[in-house]
Parts: sequence; structure tokens; C-alpha cells
Amino acid sequence: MATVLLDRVTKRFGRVRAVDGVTLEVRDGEFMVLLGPSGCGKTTALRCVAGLERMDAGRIVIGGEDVTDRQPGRRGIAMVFQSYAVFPHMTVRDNITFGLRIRKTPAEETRQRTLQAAELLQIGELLDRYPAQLSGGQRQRVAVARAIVMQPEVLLMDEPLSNLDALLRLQMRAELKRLHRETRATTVYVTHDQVEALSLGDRIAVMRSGAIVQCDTPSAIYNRPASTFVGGFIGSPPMNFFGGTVEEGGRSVRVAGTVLGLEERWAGAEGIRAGGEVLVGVRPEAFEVTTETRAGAFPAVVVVIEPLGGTTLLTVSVDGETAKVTVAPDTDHDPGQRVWLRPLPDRLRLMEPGSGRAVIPTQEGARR
Amino acid sequence: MARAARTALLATIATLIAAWVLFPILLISLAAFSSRAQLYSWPRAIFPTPPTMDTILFFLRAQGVWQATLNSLIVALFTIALAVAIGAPAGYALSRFRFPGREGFRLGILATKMFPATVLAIPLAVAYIRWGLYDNLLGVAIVHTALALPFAVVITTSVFIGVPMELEEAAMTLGCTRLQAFLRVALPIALPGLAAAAIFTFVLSWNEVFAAAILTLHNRTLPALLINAVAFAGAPLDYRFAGGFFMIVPAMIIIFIIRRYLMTLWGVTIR
Repeated sequence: MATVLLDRVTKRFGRVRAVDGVTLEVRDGEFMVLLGPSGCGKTTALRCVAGLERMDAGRIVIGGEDVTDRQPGRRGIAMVFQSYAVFPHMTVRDNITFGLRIRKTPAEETRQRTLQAAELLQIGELLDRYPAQLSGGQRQRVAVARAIVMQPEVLLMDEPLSNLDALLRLQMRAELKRLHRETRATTVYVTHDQVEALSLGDRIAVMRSGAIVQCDTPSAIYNRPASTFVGGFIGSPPMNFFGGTVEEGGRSVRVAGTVLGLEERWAGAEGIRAGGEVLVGVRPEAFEVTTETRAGAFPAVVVVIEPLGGTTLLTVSVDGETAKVTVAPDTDHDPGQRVWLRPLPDRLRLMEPGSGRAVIPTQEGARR
Repeated sequence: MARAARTALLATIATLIAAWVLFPILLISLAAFSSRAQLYSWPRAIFPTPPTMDTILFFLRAQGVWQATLNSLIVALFTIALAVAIGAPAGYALSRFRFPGREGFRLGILATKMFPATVLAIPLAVAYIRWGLYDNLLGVAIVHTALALPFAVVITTSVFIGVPMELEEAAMTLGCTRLQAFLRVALPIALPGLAAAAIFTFVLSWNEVFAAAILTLHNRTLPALLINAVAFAGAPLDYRFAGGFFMIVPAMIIIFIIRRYLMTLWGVTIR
């Protein structure tokens, strides 16, 4: 087990800065998720940690030791690849023991650790098969077993679930979580799937264009996105943003012609000026929906109704802008119906319209 | 309808091409099992009656045939060793690395095939005499290597493209050095394809007549011996047919065995 530090890491491909001065500290035993859209540099960052990419600048420190110039095999890491990268010309057993054999581990210890890893991944009866005889899910398990049998200080995973079908992915996701609890290896996990990130991560580092835009716990990322990008990328459907004007010196904001009262913590926050423009960010589930007008609620027209089983998703039009609202499945709505939306004051976020950066309320600011 | 017509047209063309190649082979094969008397009779019967091994045995007992066969094998083995030793690393580099001039390099390799060897004959012979490589089997192998290299590079490139880079990277994260990862993972997986490249090189060398005929005098390879016997020494018909048959058979068998890998030469994968 060890900490991992990416220290101002930069990696260029030609003129493109795939990773642009990223600094990230992963704590001992932590499950860190790198999350972002494709091309944001998350996989490149992971490959820098593994030593598979030559960095243009920066350092990688693992367990307090600078490993920047070390070969991948001398960094105390193990990696699970997106394509699994299981060796096709070896049996499952030889795949799992490969790294131990390279390290010249004694035969008896090799045997024991192999059985242990195979048991942990429930592939004990597949040991004498070749990868071609395995299903995708089983190959995935072999790849994970091959990594954890090394008892790595740091386990790196590059979208390990993306090639599995939906049901298997759900199952494997829970298994990875259990595995992490049992091995407690510091884990860096790359994914573009926000649900995976939210469910697995102790913390999530959201990346965009080669930089980390927010690194925090899943609930903080979800509830207090640091920018419109994070709010829009995480959550399905994403966070809604409404243009508004600050009034009464920051005690209220006017959206769609309606005055919404703000909690006190917004009043003194940086970026909040009377008459200034802000974006009001509200999660789809953070509305109270009524069919009659009431204080602090703005009008909207229902456009589409999608029952999703557990909830019902409404697409509504607010002043010509589209918004998504989730409501309880038993509520009765019709297309064209006029409704009033009241954002829950404690779930409401304010963003600067130009930069998209979140406004930090005073109390949160004090808490940090 | 249009599709059926297309299929029929394709089948016709394929049949014609196959016949164009196979018909002479068939005639040579039949002649190789006919008796000498039958070959010189007129009108000549197409089917040997009765089939006989006399013609083949006559050829095999002819002077220099076994020595030439041995020479051919030696040249082919040298050629394989050189072509794989030079071609496989080039193929690996082309499959793994993006470097400036990569596309130019690829095209340049194929462009060497556009150059007619005939033009080179005199300068090559002169150079070989100066270097002391004339009438030397290694000298023939060097020319054959030059001829085989483009194919060796193209085939090994596609072979290594078929071995995902991630496999080598996985090996490296498990403790291998770059070289170990190649030797333990990429090479074993690529081996059948590399063998195909080697065998293809063998066939190329085994059949090559022009350079071998020009650059040797006493140390003839089999094709050089045959072309000399046929063109200048006026060999009898049974010698010619038996010799042709003896040349064709190994190449045919080998190409038949490795045909699956040769497809990868054109970027077609059959799995």
C-alpha cells in the first residue's frame, strides 16, 4: 500500500497536451477514480503513473519514492487494461503466475498466491483453460487476478468494465468494490462512466482537456459541482442551468420572471453582486413540482413525460429553455400542462455565467 | 440479379486465372510421369499409358542435380536467415512506432519491387566478381534477400500489428523489460506468422532463376542448373519435364500450407 502523487505531470502528443500539468495526490488505500469524457487525458495520466508513457514534465511519486525514471515493472504497480490484455498463448494459470515467474518467486509461494487470487476472483476451475475458451467476463477476472496476485502497492485500472455487457458490468462493479475492501490496495481507476465513478470512488477526479477540474468525494462532486462542466457531465440527466439576475444584494435571484429566495450563505459570496448575472444550477430531483403557483416557484410547461419505473422524468420548457425534472412515478402530468417548479433552496447552486465556475457560498468557504 | 451476375463474372474470372496457372502445371505433371518414348512420339498422348517413374528417376540420376538441390537449399536457408533477421525488426518497428518518414519508408520498400532486376544484371555481376562473391552461394543468398525483403517486411508488419501492443505493456507492468516483454509475449504469439514469412521467403529463393543463373558458374542452384540445361545444353524433353515437376512440387505444397498467412500480406484476416 502506498500513496501516489502526480506532480505537475505533462504529456504532449505532437501539439496536443493530453495531460497538462496535472497534480493529484492519492491517499494510502484510497480508491481514486479519474473521470471524464473521451479524450480528456485520463487514460494518458494513468499510463504515466504506470510508466507506459514518457512524460514531458513532472514527477510520479509512489510510496514516497520518485519513480519517474523507473520501468513499469519496478514501480510497485499492477495494471488492468481495457482490452484485458490476457496473454492468448498461455493458460489462465500461466497468465496469473506470469509476473511471479518474472520476479522468480519460490514455486510454493507462487502456487499459494495463485490459488488465493483465483479463489478471490472465482476462477479456480478455469486455471487450465486458454483465454480463447473463456467468456469476456471470465477474461476480465483473469486480468484482475493477474494484477492482484502481484500484491501491488498500487492497482491501476483502465476502463476495466467498458467491454462487458450491462448486467455483467453491474456485477463486476460490486466485485471490484469488494476486492478493494479486501486488498486495500491504493487504486487508480479510469472511467468515462459517471455511475461507475460515483459508486466505486472514495474520491473522484473529474478531468477535462488534460486538466483536473474537480477532485472530491462522490457526494461533493454530485451536490456541489465546481463548474457547469462537472454539473453537466455528472448526473443522468445532468444538472439544469437557468440564467438569473441577483437581487436584494444577494438575498434573492430572479429566474424566469420569478424571485427565488436565496439562503444567507450566498449573500457575501464572491461573484454575487446585486444586478449581476448568475447561472442557477438545480439537479433534476431537487425541485418541488406543483400545479398551482406558489412563492419561490417559476412556471414551466411539460413537454415530454418518460416513466422510468422508479421515477418519472419530465422534460419541461422554462422561458423557452429545456429542463429535466424527476418526479415520483405516481404523479399525474400531461404534455402541455403548466406546472410550477420550486428549487429546494439548500440544493441550489450558483455559477458564474462567463467562466462556468461555481460560486463558493460563504459558509462552505469557511468550512474548507 | 445484379449481384448474381457479379458473382458469376467473378467466378468466371477466377476460374480463368486458376486455369491459366494450373493447366501448364497439370501438363508438366502428366509429362513427368510419361515414358521417354511417349514424350517423343507424335501425336503425343496427354495421359501417360502406363504411368512410369522412369522419367523422374532419369532426372534425379542426371549429373549435378543433387548438388544443385543441395545448393538451392543452402541458398534458401541463408536467405531466410538474412530476410527474417533484417525484415522482422523492420516489420516490428513499422507496426509499433510512429516516426517521421514512416509512410515513405513503407512505400520505399515496395518501390524496390518496381525496379527490373534485368537492368542490374551486368553491374551486379561486375561488382560480385570484384568483391569475390561471384559463383558463391552466400552471394546468391544476398541477392535473394534483397528480393525477399519487401515481402518479409510487409508480412511481418501485419503479423506484429496482429499482436496488440497492450499485451507487451501488460508484460512490462508485470516486471518484464521491453526486451523480455517482446521475447516472452509478442514473439511466441507472432511465431506462426513469422514462420509463414520464412517459408514464403524459401519459396521465393527456391524458384528464383535470374540472379542465380547470372551469378553462378559451377555452384549452380537447381533453377540455374535447369535453365542452363534447357536453354544452352539442349536437354531432352523428359529431363525438362521431370525437372519442372521437381521444382514445382515443394513450392506448391508449401504455398498450400501457408496460404492462410499469405492473406495477411494483403491485409485480409481470416479467422
